[in-house]
Amino acid sequence: MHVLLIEDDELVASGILAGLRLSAITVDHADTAKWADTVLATSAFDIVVLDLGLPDEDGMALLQRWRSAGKDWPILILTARDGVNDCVAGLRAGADDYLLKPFDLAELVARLHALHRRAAGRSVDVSEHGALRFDQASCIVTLHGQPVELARRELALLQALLHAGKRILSPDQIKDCLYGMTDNVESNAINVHIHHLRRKLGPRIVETVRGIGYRLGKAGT
Amino acid sequence: MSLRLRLLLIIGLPFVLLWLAASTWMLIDLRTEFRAALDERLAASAHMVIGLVAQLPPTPVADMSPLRPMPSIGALSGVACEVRQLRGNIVARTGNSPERLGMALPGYRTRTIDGERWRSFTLEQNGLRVTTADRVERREQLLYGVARAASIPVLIAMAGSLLALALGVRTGLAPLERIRAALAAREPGALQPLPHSRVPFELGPLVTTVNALLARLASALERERRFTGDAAHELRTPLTAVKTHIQVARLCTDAEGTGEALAQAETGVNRLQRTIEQLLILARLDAPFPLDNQDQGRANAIARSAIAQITPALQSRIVIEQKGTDGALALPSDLAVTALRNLFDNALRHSPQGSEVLLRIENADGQVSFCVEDRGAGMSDDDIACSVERFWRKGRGHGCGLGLSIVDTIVQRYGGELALANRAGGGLSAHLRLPSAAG
Repeated sequence: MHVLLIEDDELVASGILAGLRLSAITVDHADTAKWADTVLATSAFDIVVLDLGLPDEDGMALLQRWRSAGKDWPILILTARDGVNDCVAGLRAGADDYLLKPFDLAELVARLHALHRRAAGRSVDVSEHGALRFDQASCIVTLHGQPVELARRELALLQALLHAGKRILSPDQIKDCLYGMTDNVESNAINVHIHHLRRKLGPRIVETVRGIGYRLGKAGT
Repeated sequence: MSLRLRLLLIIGLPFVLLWLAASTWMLIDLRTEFRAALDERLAASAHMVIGLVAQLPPTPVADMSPLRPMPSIGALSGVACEVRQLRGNIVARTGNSPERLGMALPGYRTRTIDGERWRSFTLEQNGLRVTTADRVERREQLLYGVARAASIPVLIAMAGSLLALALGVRTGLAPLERIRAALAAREPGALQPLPHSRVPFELGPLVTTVNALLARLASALERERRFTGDAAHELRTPLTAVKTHIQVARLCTDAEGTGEALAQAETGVNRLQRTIEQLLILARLDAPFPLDNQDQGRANAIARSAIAQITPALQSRIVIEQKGTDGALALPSDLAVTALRNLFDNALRHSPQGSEVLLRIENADGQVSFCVEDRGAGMSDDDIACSVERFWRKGRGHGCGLGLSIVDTIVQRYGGELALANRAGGGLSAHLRLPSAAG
């Protein structure tokens, strides 16, 4: 899951970034509406977390601008303002969820997972794929009932593949899911992660579609 | 009592009373004149009858025996007449005249004969007594008819006038009624101005005053609302940072990450502390009662205390230049220190690292002036105009936006002055003038 956090307060942003990264979520940060627009134009995100108080543009105006331009990524609003009016207005303007500051990190993560799985058309956090079982909330993966240890990027890759289902993911799309904009990505990094995933979950878990990209295959065989 | 009823009573009551008095007067006059006219008619009739009888050929008195059938004359317009000899014999009488009509002394009389009241006039001349008479009841009937004919138009005119008055008052007070209706139809919390169109001259000032009051109330409420919203934002943001970093610290498995998160949390706590302190100072300044701490200090001591409150690493950047004597200030020293410290904070924050911040202290003309000059980028005129607004900040993540509004509140409360201006050579000068104590 690749999340864009739009938050102008550095201290709050650094906390959320660290917290989400610890919860195996790939996250990028924009501190102005202008930068957010630039980032969203160049990279694919699953969810946008939007703080309403931005220095260069009102968060609500930004939200309305996106929605009227037909941008349909799920949006979770963060606000420190009093009262439910902001939240109601935000939801009406096209946001999908909101959290009042201060919030619990665990709640933010849970809501992001909920938004993500809703966008994928699922209603529970647990994805099952053949003998594979992936609990996205607790990041526990089991194969034939046996727990499998996966690294953070491997979890993100598995999540992206499960989320895509039968769709083919291009290497760029996979890169967006695994790495933030600021991460330094080695040219063969994705291949390394795919290799590790195949080793741990069976060689056919990732199918290579030549010249196009990768697709979810069968687990455990 | 409603204004309309009041007007109706004030104008209508004297109007009705005057008209009633005039009508009564007229009726009394009418009655007197009418009675006099009828009496005159009786007298004229009597004179006419006696004149006519005198022209008759003389008749032997013996012939005038009471046994002779009496000549009866048809009643004429209700006037009864009796002609009698002075000795008592009736010569003639009209058919409607009662017995004993002629048994009266000369002149006007009002008598009751056979249960009926008569008004009579008796005239004695040439050995004859002529009595003419009207029934009083008949006279009153006539009088009543005339009075009625005279009063009906008056009453109709009066009723019409009252109606016109009521309509006039209603129409005349319509602008007032419009304002009343506009006020009555408002929501209790509504603050939009009253309609100002078609308001008469006299109500203009009222509507203007009310609208000005509403506008002031609306802006005060809006300011309060924005202030609480901003305060909530300023308190919740560092609180969010602290909470998030503490939760991150708990999630972290390595010591480095935990330490980093805790350091960040501490930064958040410091920011929260500073915001709360600033808010408390503002609350103290906004309170209507005098401040507890009244000890007043001298300019140098205040500058030293203000510098001592700055982060030690930054203290060396401040250079003091003094002109004139060390003046005493006419305001609590802790407030003067707060004001100066806020100016230092801004100067240090908005100028290049390591650059010098100059403090010039001057004591002249009953004022102590502190001029804090930095070598930063300065401010645009728009920025300077809104810089004292609460929670206004230049750029992001710098302070809590209360520093200059606190300085402004202090100078407004103690009669000082704060002027921000760009320096010729770049940077901003913040000129704080505070009243000096006598002596």
